[in-house]
This record gives sequence, structure tokens and C-alpha cells, in this order.
Amino acid sequence: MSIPTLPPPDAALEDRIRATLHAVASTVRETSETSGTAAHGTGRTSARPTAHARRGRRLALVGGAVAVTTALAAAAVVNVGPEYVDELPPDHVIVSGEADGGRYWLVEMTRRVGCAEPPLGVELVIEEGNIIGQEWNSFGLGYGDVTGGGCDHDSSAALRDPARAYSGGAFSGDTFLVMYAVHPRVTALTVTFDDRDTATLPVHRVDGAGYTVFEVPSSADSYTVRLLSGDAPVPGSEQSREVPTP
Amino acid sequence: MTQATLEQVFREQRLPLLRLAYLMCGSRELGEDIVQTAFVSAHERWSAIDDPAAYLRRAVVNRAKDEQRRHYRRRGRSGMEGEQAREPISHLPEIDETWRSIRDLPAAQRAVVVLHYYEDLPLVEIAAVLDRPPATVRSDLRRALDHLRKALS
Repeated sequence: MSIPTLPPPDAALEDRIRATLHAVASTVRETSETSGTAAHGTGRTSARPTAHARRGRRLALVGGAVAVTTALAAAAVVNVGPEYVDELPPDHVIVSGEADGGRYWLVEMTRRVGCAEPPLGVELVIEEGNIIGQEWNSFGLGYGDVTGGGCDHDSSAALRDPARAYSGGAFSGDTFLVMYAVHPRVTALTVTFDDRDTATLPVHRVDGAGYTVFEVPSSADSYTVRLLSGDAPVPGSEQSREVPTP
Repeated sequence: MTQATLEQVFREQRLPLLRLAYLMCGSRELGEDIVQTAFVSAHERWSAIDDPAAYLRRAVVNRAKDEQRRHYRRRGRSGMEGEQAREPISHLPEIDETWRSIRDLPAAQRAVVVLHYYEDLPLVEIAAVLDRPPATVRSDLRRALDHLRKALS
């Protein structure tokens, strides 16, 4: 068998593909509970998982992170824990809302989600993805670059730069919900949709960092976020984004 | 090979295989099913498998490729995206854009890209995993890179 010739090298493109694949893959996380469950599946009595078990093992990604002033901070995050949904709203709610006929909650992360300790930060619980009796399915976000396989965050670099923020989003119905994690000095953020309507949102303290969530109107094509410290804008914090399609 | 060895392979390979399956099919839930099915399949013929890691990788890649084709067929018939669970948005613009373009590749091209740039497999090994001629794999990679170059330029 002859060794085929590789296509003409394009180092920048290849590096980008490689970095993307590794970044995306790193958002898939295993939990100890899911390992145990699936291990039984390889035994002699194994069978295809039931819908319930399949859902229970699902490794929900979590919101990615974005550094407002840095193009590529380490992304990723966690979630979908082993515990079952026993009640909605969940405990430790920071912000709640309703979008597209479904409720959602930004809650303080208190579940271990497969980690030795609960990761710092928050998780976004969307009603349509969480059914009583099945396992939690949420999107987590912490302040800092994700380390420890999604179980920890290194916030040392972020703390030196108040303009740095981490964000991620998910859909509730057709409404896009955006979470933000910001520097402790940031007290609020403004969101402008399509360069027209602007809303000011307070941030809520969890483990020292600030967190919030907002809905992007379905009519909006883009939104711009600016961070505030008191009444003053945080220099370099403006970030505009296109609204993804559901 | 003993059952303990199977469990050891499971513990070592499950997460890498989940990640590979996700890159191949773009759905965590489907990826879980694919990996689960691969282990069940491996268990049934465990004693005959010389290289479990290679066997499982091959099983995952080919099953994911089949699932991706089915997904496209369903989408083509219905005009809908199918029933894949919604995935959260990462918000890293360059990664989002590149990942979206990779996901749009045809199944065979996407498999070659993932195996070459994520698994770091040379083309001859990719050809063996996919059971395709090396020249075809080379062509798939060239077409995939051409597509991605245009899409990301």
C-alpha cells in the first residue's frame, strides 16, 4: 500500500481545524456516575440503554466561555449531573424568567456534577430540558478559564482584566438565553439589541464573581454587551454578537 | 481476555470514544448510544479482538458515519433538522464558525478530517479504519480542506 500524498499544506487552516476539534471535544465530559452506569452496559447482561438511562448518561455540554478582550480563552464548561430532577423551580435560584412559553432559572452551582466538589459558578436550567424524575440537564458557567476537566476554573488572568467576561447561551424554545460571568468589580451590564433597544442588567454575586442571564428577542439579529462598574463603562469590554438560529 | 480487562478498557476508552463520537455525529446523546453499542458489540466478540482500542474506534467511527448519513437523509426528506438535541452555543466565534463548517461536511469527509486532525492518524491508517482505498481518503481530505478553506475565508 503506497502512502498517499497529503494535500498542499495550509498550516493556518490545519491549526484552526485541529484547535477547533480539540476545543469541541474537551466539552464532552464524563462523570463518575455515568461511567459506572455504562460499565454495567458492557457486562454479559448488557442491553441497549433505555430512554431513561440514555438521558441520564447524557453529557450536556455547557456554555462555552468567551473572553471579551481575548480572542481565545480556554472555553468549555460542565454539566448534567447524576441527580434526578425532583422539583422545579430548582433550589438556589438567582434569576428566573419565562421565554417562549417555558421557564428558566439561573441557579448557583451546588451539585457536584461528577466532580469532587461542586464547580464554582452557576448553571442555567431550562424547563423544557428538565423533566421531573429524569436527570438534570443544564448548562454551567464559571468565571475563569476551565481547568481540571471542567471541574475547576483558573480565574487568575481574568481577575487582572475587568473587561474579560465569559458567556454561553442556549435556547428555550426559539428564544436564545445568554449567560454572562464577569469580574467582581463589574456591577451591571448593558445589552443593546440590533443597535436599538438597550437594557441594563444587574449582576448577581456568586463566589465573588458576577453572573446574569438575559433573553435575546426573537426579532433581534445581533446584540452588543458592555460592562459597567458603577456608572462607568469598563474600557474594552464592548462585544457584539450575531444571534444564532435555533 | 478477561472481563476485568474489558472493564479496564471501558474505563480508559469510554471518554475518548465519547469525544470522538461527538465530533463525528454532532450529538452527545447519539454519541452516547454509538459508544454504548460499540462496547456491546465488542463484548460479544471480546476474545477475538486483538486490539480493543482500535476495534472500538473503528466501530464508533463507522457507526457515527452511518448515523450522520441517516440524519442527512431524514433532513432531506423532511426539510427539518431532525430530532437531535439542541446543543448550547460556545460563543467562541472562531471555534463556532469552524465547527459549524466541519459539521456541514459530508460524512466521509468529516470522518477523515476528525481522524486526521483530532486522532492524528496518517491517511493509511484512516483508510484502514474506514475500509476505503487510501487514494479515496486522500481525495476526501483534499475536498474537505478545499471546502473549509472557502467556508472560512
